[in-house]
Amino acid sequence: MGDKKMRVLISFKVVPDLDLLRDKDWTINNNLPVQTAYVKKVINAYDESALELALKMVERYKSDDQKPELIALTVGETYADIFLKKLLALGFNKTYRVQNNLDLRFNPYATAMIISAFAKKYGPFDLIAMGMQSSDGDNAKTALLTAEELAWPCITGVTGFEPAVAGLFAVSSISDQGLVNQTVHPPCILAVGNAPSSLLRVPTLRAIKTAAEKDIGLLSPESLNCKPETLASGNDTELRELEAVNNTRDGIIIEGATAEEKARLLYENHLKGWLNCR
Amino acid sequence: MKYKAIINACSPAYKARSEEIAYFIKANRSVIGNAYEADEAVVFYNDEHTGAEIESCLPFKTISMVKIKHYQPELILNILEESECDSPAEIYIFSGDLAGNELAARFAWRFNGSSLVAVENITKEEDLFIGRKKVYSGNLHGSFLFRKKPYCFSLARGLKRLETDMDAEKKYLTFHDYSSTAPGAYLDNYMESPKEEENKLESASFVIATGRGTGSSKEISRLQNIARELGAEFGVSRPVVMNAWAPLDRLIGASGAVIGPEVCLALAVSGSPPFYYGIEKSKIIIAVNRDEHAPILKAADIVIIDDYKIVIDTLFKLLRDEKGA
Ligand SMILES: Cc1cc2nc3c(=O)[nH]c(=O)nc-3n(C[C@H](O)[C@H](O)[C@H](O)COP(=O)(O)OP(=O)(O)OC[C@H]3O[C@@H](n4cnc5c(N)ncnc54)[C@H](O)[C@@H]3O)c2cc1C
Ligand SMILES: Nc1ncnc2c1ncn2[C@@H]1O[C@H](COP(=O)(O)O)[C@@H](O)[C@H]1O
Repeated sequence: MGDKKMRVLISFKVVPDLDLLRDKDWTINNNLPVQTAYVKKVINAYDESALELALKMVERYKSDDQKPELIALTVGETYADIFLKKLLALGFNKTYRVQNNLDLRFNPYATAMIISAFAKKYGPFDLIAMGMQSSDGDNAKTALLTAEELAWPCITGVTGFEPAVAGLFAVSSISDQGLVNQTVHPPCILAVGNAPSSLLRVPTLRAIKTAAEKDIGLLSPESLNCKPETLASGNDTELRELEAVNNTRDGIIIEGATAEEKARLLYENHLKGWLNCR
Repeated sequence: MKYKAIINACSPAYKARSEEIAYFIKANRSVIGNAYEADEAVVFYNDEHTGAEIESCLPFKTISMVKIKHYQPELILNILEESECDSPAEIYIFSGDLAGNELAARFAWRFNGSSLVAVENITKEEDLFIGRKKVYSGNLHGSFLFRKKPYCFSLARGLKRLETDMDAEKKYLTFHDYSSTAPGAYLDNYMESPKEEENKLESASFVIATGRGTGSSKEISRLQNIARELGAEFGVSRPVVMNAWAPLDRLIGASGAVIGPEVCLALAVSGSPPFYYGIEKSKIIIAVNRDEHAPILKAADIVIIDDYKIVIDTLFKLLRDEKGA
């Protein structure tokens, strides 16, 4: 009794690093999806936190045979594999990629159906941690729909989770009301938000070498009984049009020989009066 | 179309969120329809004080007041599932906050409808109902067709507000008490540390916002002191929080505080859309960045392309000399 190992699934998405794109990259052409194939890939910001928080949680268990099993899952293309290898190097027990050929960017329904089908087939899991929102889709729905499909509770805005007594989990999160600390019975979905100091750690070279030999579980939606047609048609919304966002303010540039001079001009011409009469 | 607003009045900011919904309804009358009788809201609250206050300040004609122990999405969804199943509305508008986002998506799922999170406006083209929201981390706007009724969506954060007219027509209120209903078997223990006050960043008239380019937690504390001396509130971008150089309540942006000061001095931030979302409403944005291609420079009113450190130190010295003189 009580020595059953916990199993924790982290579902994460590999996305183009949008911070690297410049204005001209956002020019919209007729084919709807923006071309981001050539942009450097990163783990989605919130998902990176979810992965790191899971590693932190495991460290809380003292003995090795109590440590929960960590499984990472992503739905995506081959470019995700280097991240799955990295996670193996960081101590994840298993990693899976569901090869997918649909455009999932604005289809959180399909993603949620695949994740929940995975959870049913490869579970049981005690926790599923994911991010609250992905940076390309901005859907902010996948975790919620997964929770509904599995009929599990879901806590959003999660900033941390750790083992509590008797197989429960202590979860901290941010809500509209303020900070929340709750103790929950598994199973539960945790949607991670802005979790301070949760940048994903870096594996050692040695660990990377060892992980290189390990396999990534490669699955297809069909192997999870998800039919591509249903995944495409089941989405409740449909992207019709993309438009540029215009933030331009046509500002004035303060010129000067040195930074000091520019600061002085800023002060004299723009700030002095305002600052002094506040 | 029959529509309903769903409001989480367990949140201290419920009034602002309700006024955003009121403005949204007014601005989108042509889509939603003109029937004032359709102005219905379901309000979840957990505090007597708020309960009494709501009556006078919410801009809806028919209000269903539901008392609960504390905000808890599963409980609220179950209550809504029960109360709405007989005659669901065609449109459900959820507030522009965390509660609104999670409730909209999950409620739509239960009612086999469609949902969108963080909608800025809606349009109707013949029979098609379309919502517009930011995508690609705020780099683009996307217009989405809702495929199935009910159309459920939460509002984007920080939309315009419609001040409530206190003397508006009489309201029809009904009360329901679920405060002794347990939230769900999964929950063992729940503790809230309420927000002490509204985030000071959001009401400040002068904000200094800094980013990853500051390089260290030591530099962040130094800048925070300078901000205090200059009488400015201090805010940061996400990487600063992720590196634990500053606490989360200093975060500005789409997932942090949305500010609207007279002057925002943005130092060593690139101005990525999720960050810019938070400072967009500033009257004057002054940006200092040493990279002439940084996006913030195009989106600012006054620009210095140079090292922020020399600029802020010089500004500080000039002001101190002036005050001392
Ligand atoms: C779902 C999601 C939500 C997000 N929400 C938010 C949010 O709410 N808030 C937020 O801030 N971000 C958010 N982000 C992250 C956002 O995309 C950017 O990564 C982030 O805003 C970048 O922060 P930064 O500008 O400080 O860093 P960087 O992009 O690294 O910019 C640093 C800047 O400093 C300049 N610099 C460096 N040294 C100097 C110097 N000595 N003098 C002058 N300039 C210098 C550089 O030229 C550079 O432009 C979110 C991302 C996602 C995916
Ligand atoms: N393709 C994917 N593979 C695995 N997880 C995903 C995928 N897409 C989204 N997710 C998860 O769902 C969260 C929310 O994404 P979204 O609903 O697209 O904003 C992300 O932070 C991820 O944790």
